[in-house]
Amino acid sequence: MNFKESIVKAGNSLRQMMPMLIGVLLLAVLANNILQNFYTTLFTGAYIKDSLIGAFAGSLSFGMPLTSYVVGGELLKNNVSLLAVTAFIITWTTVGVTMLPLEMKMLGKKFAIWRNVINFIFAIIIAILTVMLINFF
Amino acid sequence: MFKDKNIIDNKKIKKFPAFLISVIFIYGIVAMLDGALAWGSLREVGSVFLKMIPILIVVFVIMVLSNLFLTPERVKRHFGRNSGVKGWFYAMIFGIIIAGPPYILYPMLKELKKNGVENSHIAIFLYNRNVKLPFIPAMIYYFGWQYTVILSVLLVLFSIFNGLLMGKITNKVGEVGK
Repeated sequence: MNFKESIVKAGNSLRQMMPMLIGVLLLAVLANNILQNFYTTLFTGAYIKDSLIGAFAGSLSFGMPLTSYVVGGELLKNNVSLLAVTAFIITWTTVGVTMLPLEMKMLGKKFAIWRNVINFIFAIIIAILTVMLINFF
Repeated sequence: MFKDKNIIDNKKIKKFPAFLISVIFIYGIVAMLDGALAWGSLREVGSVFLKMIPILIVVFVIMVLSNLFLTPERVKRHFGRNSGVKGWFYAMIFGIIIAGPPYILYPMLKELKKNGVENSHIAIFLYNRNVKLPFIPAMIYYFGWQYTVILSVLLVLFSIFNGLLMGKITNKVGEVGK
């Protein structure tokens, strides 16, 4: 493949993605803004329930990891358990429900669904392990 | 052959606006219920999109370079079925180093997949996006160094399990290179 063909191919890929990208972005920002108002009331302090809710909330939200740290830090200040916050910041980046249509389109339906399911389960496991190890040390 | 590829791409493009239109419709409903929420979200999208442009340019350059230099033979050698631990290591390092939200990385990953990169490596790459070196100081600031080290190590470790599982699940149906 020569340089010109390479540019055209890359340009086509980006152009193909653009309407979906804008749609996903619109949806994710809206979901994020709606959920943000409920973050502090969603978490009650219950160990497993909090981690599940944290993982769910993170799955529906999206953005740079940095944003999840800021939100997570605020949640900790509001007495949300570290377990819930950890599950939240992990799924924030590793699970993307609002991104799923785009991921399915780009990387395959089976790949996208399985990756998100596995990452959700891993988030719970890692959150529990993280808190256990912190308590241990 | 190249012209045929463009025709296929154009057909795919026509399918996309239906999703965008449905999202705009949702915004319309939200705007009727809570105008400030809809307007605020729209402004935020605009702001995010502007910030995304430099990243998109970088991604475009990487895609062009990937098309030029990542020939199927080279990719298979480093990330393919026989790349083993070295392939996982590259996927991990690239996942940590390469910045940008997944939705702008997906087209690049799709190209890599077409060139023979395995699903397991793509899964490892995407999982390690969580470990971002520039954001480590922020994580230490909010959660402490001990938490940061433990979580980062666990994430890198679990990225391997993730890759192994994804490889086993998805490669069975021959999704590689789809």
